[in-house]
Amino acid sequence: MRKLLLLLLALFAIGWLAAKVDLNTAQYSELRQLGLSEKQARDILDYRDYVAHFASIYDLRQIPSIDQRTLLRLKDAVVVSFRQEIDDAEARRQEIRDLLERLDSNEGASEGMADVWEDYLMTPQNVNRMHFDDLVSLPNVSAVDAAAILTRLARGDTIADMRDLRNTVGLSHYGYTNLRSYVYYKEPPIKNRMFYDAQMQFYTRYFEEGAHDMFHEPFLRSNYGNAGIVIPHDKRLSYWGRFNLDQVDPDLIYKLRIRYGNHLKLGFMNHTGKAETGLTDKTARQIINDSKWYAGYENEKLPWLGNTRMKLYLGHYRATYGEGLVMENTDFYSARKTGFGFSKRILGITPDLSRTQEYALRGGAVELSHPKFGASFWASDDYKDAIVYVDENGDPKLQDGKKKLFSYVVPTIRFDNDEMQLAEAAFNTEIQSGTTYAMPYLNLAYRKDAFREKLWGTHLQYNPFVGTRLGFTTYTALYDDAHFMVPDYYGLQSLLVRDSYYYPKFKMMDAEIAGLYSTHVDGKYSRDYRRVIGFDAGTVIGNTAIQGEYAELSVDGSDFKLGDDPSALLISANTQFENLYLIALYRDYDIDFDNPYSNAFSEHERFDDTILEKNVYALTNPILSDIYLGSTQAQPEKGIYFETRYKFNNYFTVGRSYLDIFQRKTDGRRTARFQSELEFRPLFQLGLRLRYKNQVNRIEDFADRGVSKTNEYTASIRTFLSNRDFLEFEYRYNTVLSPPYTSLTNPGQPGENTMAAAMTLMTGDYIGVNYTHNFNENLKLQGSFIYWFSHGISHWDWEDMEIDFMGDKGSKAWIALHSRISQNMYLNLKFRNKTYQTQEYSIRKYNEPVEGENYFPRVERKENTIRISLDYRF
Amino acid sequence: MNKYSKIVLTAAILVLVATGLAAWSITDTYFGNKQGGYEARSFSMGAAGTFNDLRPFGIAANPANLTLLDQRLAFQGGALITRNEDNRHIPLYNSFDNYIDDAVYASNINFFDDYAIAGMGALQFGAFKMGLGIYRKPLLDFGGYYHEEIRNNRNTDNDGYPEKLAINKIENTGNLMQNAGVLSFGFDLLDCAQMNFGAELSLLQGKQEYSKTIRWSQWAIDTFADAVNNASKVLPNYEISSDTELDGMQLKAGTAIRFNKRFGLAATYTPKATLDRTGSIKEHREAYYNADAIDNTLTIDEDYILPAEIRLGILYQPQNIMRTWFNLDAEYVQWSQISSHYEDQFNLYAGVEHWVENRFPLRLGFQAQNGYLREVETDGSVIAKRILTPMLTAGSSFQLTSFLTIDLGFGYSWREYEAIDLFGDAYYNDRIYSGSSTYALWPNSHITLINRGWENPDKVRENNISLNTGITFTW
Repeated sequence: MRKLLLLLLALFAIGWLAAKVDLNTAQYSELRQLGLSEKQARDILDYRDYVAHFASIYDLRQIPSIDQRTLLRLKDAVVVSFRQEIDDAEARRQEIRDLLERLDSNEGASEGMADVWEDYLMTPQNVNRMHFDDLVSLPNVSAVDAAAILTRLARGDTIADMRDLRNTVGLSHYGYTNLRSYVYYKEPPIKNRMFYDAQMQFYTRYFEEGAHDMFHEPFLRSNYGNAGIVIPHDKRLSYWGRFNLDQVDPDLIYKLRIRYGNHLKLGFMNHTGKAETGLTDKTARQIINDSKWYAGYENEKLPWLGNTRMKLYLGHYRATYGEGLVMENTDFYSARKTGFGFSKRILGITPDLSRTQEYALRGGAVELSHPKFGASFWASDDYKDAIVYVDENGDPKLQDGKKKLFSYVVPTIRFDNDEMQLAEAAFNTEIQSGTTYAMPYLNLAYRKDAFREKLWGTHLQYNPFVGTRLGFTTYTALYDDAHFMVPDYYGLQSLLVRDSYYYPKFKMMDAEIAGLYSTHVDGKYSRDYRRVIGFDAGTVIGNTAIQGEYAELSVDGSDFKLGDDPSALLISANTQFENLYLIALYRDYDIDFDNPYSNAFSEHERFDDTILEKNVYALTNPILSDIYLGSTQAQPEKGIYFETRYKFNNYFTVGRSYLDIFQRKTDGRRTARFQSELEFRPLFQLGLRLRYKNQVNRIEDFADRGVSKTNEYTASIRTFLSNRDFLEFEYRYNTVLSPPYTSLTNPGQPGENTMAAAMTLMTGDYIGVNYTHNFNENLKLQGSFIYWFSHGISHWDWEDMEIDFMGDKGSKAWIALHSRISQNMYLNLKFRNKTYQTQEYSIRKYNEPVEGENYFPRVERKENTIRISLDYRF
Repeated sequence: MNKYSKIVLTAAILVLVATGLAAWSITDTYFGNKQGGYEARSFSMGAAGTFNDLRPFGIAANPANLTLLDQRLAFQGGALITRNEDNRHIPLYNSFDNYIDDAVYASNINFFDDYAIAGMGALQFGAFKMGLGIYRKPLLDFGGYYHEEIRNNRNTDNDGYPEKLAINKIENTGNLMQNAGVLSFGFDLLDCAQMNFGAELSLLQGKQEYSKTIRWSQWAIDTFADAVNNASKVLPNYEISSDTELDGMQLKAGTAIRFNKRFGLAATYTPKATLDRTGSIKEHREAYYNADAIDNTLTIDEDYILPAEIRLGILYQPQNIMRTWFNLDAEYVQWSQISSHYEDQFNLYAGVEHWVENRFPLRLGFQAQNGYLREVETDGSVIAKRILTPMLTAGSSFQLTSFLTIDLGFGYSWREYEAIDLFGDAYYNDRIYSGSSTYALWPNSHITLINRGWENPDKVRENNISLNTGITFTW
C-alpha cells in the first residue's frame, strides 16, 4: 500500500512538473499560452538563442520586456532544465582561456612559440609519457621540475591526477601551476578531432627610430666646400621619399592552422609588411615563396619501441637545440634569453608559422625521441635575402662565377629587386654628380632572395640518467651560387664608408663586422658552405640543474678538432627552492663566431654600437644598417649573469632581479648592469612596487666614449580591483651621465663649444597610468596614458603586446578592446596615438664649424597606429 | 505637448543639430568623399552592413536587405557631420641638405554635413515576400575648403608677424545625389532560413563646383606700388573655377541569404556606371607688366566613371552573454576600369554590436578603405596615388518608443600621403610683375621662389571625426 501511495505521489509530481513549461525548450506557442505578449514570447526565444540558456527563472529579468509582475506571474508556471550547448573543445577552451590570452599577449616576445603552446593547452600531453625535453620546453617548467617528475615515473609510479602531480617530490609550486594546464593524466580532456584556427591581422605601424633614420638618409652629391656645386633638395634621394614611406600602409597577416589532435598538422601563413608588394600584385609562385606553410605528422606511441615519439614535418619548421648556440632559427632577437621561466626555448622540431623569413627552414625534418636517446635530421632548401656586392649598374658582382655576398640580412622592408635597382640607379646618378666620393656608387645593396641556401643538420642526444643528457648538433649550409666575402678590418673601411673624410668614424667596434664569415678568402681557403658543430649537456643534481653548450664555426681549422676555430660557450645553472630561485650563467662568444642560426643569451644583439648603428650616414648605402637592425645573433661578449627572485612572505617579494657583468669582446668595454625590484602587498588588492636599474659602461682608454652611468628609479602602485579589473600608476626617473652629445653643448652647434664640457648629466622622467576593465567575461578594455620628458634619454614602455621606445618629450595613449564574439571567435582592436617632439640634429662634421642653420630643435611627430585581429578557432 | 510630440521633437532636434557649414576634404575634389551609407547603426560598426536586417537604410547597402527586414513599413532619416582637419607639411632640410622631416605650413579645420532618407514597404504572401523601397542620399560629396596665407619673413627675428602677401583659397561645393528605387523578393525556406534577391536602379545627378583663387593683400599691393612707382605695374590676382554637372544612372543587384539563426551571407554587385560630366572651366588672371590678362573658358564634356564594386558580407549572431551581432564585409573595387593609372583595390569593413546587460548596445567597428588622389600634371598627364584611410567607429542607440529608434555613430579616420603643393611658390615672385631685379615684397633676397614638384611634395595628414545620427520609424 505504501509503495502504491509513493508511486501515485511520484506520478502526480511528474504530472505536476510536466504541466509546467520549460523555458529552455518551450516553443513560441507554449509561451503564448502562458499569457505572454507576442513581443515577450519572441524576446524569450531570442534570449535563449542569442544570449544564453536560462539558468534560473530569475534570468527572465534580464529581458527588458519582462517586468517583475510578469516574472511573479510566471514563476509557478515555468521550470528551467539544465542545458549546455558547448562541446568538449569549447569547454576546454573556456577552461584555459586566461592562459590563451596570456600567450596571445606574449606573442610579440615569443614569435611563433605561442602556437605550439596553445596546441598543447588545447590537447594536452600525457604527463606519464612525456620526455625531459617536452617538459622543459613548457613555460616556467624547469629542468629540476622535469627531473622530479621523471624520477618519480622511473620508479614505476604513475601520476593519477592534478593533486597527485602536486605531491611530486621536488616539483616547485611555479612548475606545478604552469605544468598542470599542459598535461593530462589518464584520459585526455578532448578526444582526437579536427581543430581549426584562422587568424587575420591588420596593423598600421610606424618605423622605429633606427629604421626611420636609415630610410631618411639621403644620397647626395658631395661639394667639398665648392659653392659652385648645388646640392638639390629632393626628398626622393632617400629611400623614404623614393618609396613614399609617409603613406599609411598596413601589415597584413593571414594564418590558417588545421590539425587532427596532436597527430596531423597543416598550416599556412602569409605576412605582407608595410611598403611590400601586396598579394594581389604577386604571382602564385611568389605568394608561395613569400608564405609559410607546413604539413606534419606526430606520433606519441611508435609501435616498435616503448614510449618513442616521432615528428615528421614538410614545409616550414623550427629547429632549436641546447642553448641556441648552434641552431635556433628565428628572425627575432630577444635580450637576456636565459631559457628559464617564461624566457623559454621549445626544444626540437616544431612547425613554424612565425613571421621569420630569413632564417626560416623550408624542407623536411624528422625527429625521433625516446627517454634514453633522441635523434633528429633536417634539410632545407630556400632562397635567402642578402646584402650583395653590386657594380655601378646594380648588377651583382661575381667571384669564381658565383654571386659575391656580404651578409645575410633580415630587412626592415622586403623591397622587390627591380624596385631597388631603379632606386639605386637614381641614387648613383646623384652621388656621381658632384665631387667624386671615395666610393662613387652603391657598392653593396639589399637583394631579396639573393642566393639559394641548402641546409642540412642533425641533432643526436643520449640521456644516460633521468635529467642528464648529452647532445651533439651540427648543420651545414651549402651555397651553390654564392660566395660570402668579407674583407678584413682595414679593407672594410673603404668598402663600407662612402667618403674617406668619414674613415675616422670606423672604430675598433667595427671589427665585429669584419668577423662576418667568408666562404672565400683569397690565398687562404675557398669553399661553398658554412658549418657549425656543437655539443650540449645538462644534468640535475638535487634542486640544481646545470647545462651548457659549446659550438664551433668551421673556418680554417679541422671539423674534428676542438678549439682551432671561432667558438661560443654558454654554461648555466639554476637552483630552486619553494620561494626562491637563483640563476647563474656564463657566456663567452668569439668575434668570428658568425652563426646566423644562433640565438643565445646576450645583453645586446650583434653590431650594436658599430658604424651600422651609429654612423649610418657615413655608409656607402644606409640600408646596410639593416644588418644591425635585423640582427638576431648575440654580440660577442664574455661575462657572468646572476638572477634571482625571492618571496619573503605574502607581503614582501623581491621580484626578478639580476646582475650582469660582461665585457664586449671587440673593444673591451666592460659593463655592469643591475636591476632589482621590491614589491610590498599590504593587502592582496594593493601592490606597491619599487624598481631600480643601474648600468655602468666603461672603457679605460682614450676612446671618445669613456664612461657612462645610467640610473633608473621606478615606483608604481598597482590595485587589483573586483571583477579582475586593474589600475596602475607608475612614475619613473632616469639619469644618464656620459660624455656629451654635441647637441647638448652650448651652443647646440658642432664645434662651437664656448665652454669645456667633460661630461653631461641627462635627466628624464615618465608618468603613466594603466587600466583594465572587464565589462564581463567576453568584453575587456585596456588602456594606458603616458607622458614623458627626457633629455636625450630613451624611455621604454611595455604595451599589451609589444615594447615601445620613446625619446625626448611627448605623450601616448592607447586603448585595446578584446571582444569574444562567440566561444570560438575573438576580435582584438587596438588604437594608439603617440604625439611627441623629437630633436632633429644630424652631425656630419664633428668638431668642425658648419655654416648656416643646422639645428631644428623640435619637430613634432604624430602617430596613429591601429591593429585589428580576428581569430576564429573551432 | 504630449509624450509623443516630445519624443518626435527630441528626435528631430538630434537630427537637425547636424546642420553646419558645408565643407569637406580637398583631397576628394575629383572623386568626392564617398559615404557608403547613412545608416548610423551600420556606420558605428565600421559600415559593415551588406547583410543588414534591422534598419531600412540597409537597402542602400544591399537591395536584397529590403525583404530581409522584418518590417512591413519603415522609414529612416540620417545625418552625417564630419570635422575634417587637413595639415600640410613642407619638407625640412638641414644645412647638410638632408631631408630630415616635415613641418606644418597650413592647417585647416572644416565641417561638412549631409542628409539622407529612405523608406520601404513589404508584403508577405505565405513563404513569399515582396518589397519596394526608395532612398535619396548623397553618393559623393565634393565639398572642400582650404585657406592658406603667404607671408614673407620680415620681423620673425623679433617675434613679430611677417607681413601677409596673399591669401590662397580653394572652395569646392556640390555632391552627387543618388535617388534610388529598390525592388526585392524574399523566400522563406526553412525555419530561420530565407533567400532574398534585390535590384536597384539609381538616378545620379549632381554638381561639382570648384574654385581656386589667389588674392594679393592690400599691404602687398601698396608696398609693391610704392616700390615700383608705376601705375601700370600691378600684382595680378588669379582665379580658376569650374562648374560641372554630373548625370547618369547606376544599377545594383544583391542577394542576402540567411542560412540559420546564426549565420547570414550577402553579396552585391554594382556594375561600372558612366556618367556624363558637362560644364566649363574658367581661368582668369589680371594683366601685369608685359603680360596680357588671361581669360580662358574651356568646355568640359567627358565621361565620369564610377568603377564596378563587388561586395561580400557576412552576419554572425552567436550565443553570447551580451547579445551580439558581428558583421564582416570585403569589397573589391575595379578602379582599373577608369584607366590604367589605377589598380583594383580591396576594402575591409568589420563591426560588432554587444548588448551590455542586454539593455544597452555598444557598437564598435573598423574599416580600411582605399581611395585615389588624382593629380593632373602641368603637361596634362594624370598621376593617381592610392591612399588608405583606416577608420575606427563606435556607437549606440536608444529606443524612444516601440516604433521609434535613434542611432548614434561616431567615427575617427585618418590618412597620410604625399601631394603636390597646391599653390606653387613661383607665383609670389614679385620681380616678374615689376620687371625689377630686386624683390619689393621679400626682404630676404636669397629666397628661391620656385614651384615644388614631386621632388619635394607636401606631406598631408588628415583626420576626420564624424558623427552619424539616424532616426528610424517602423510599423
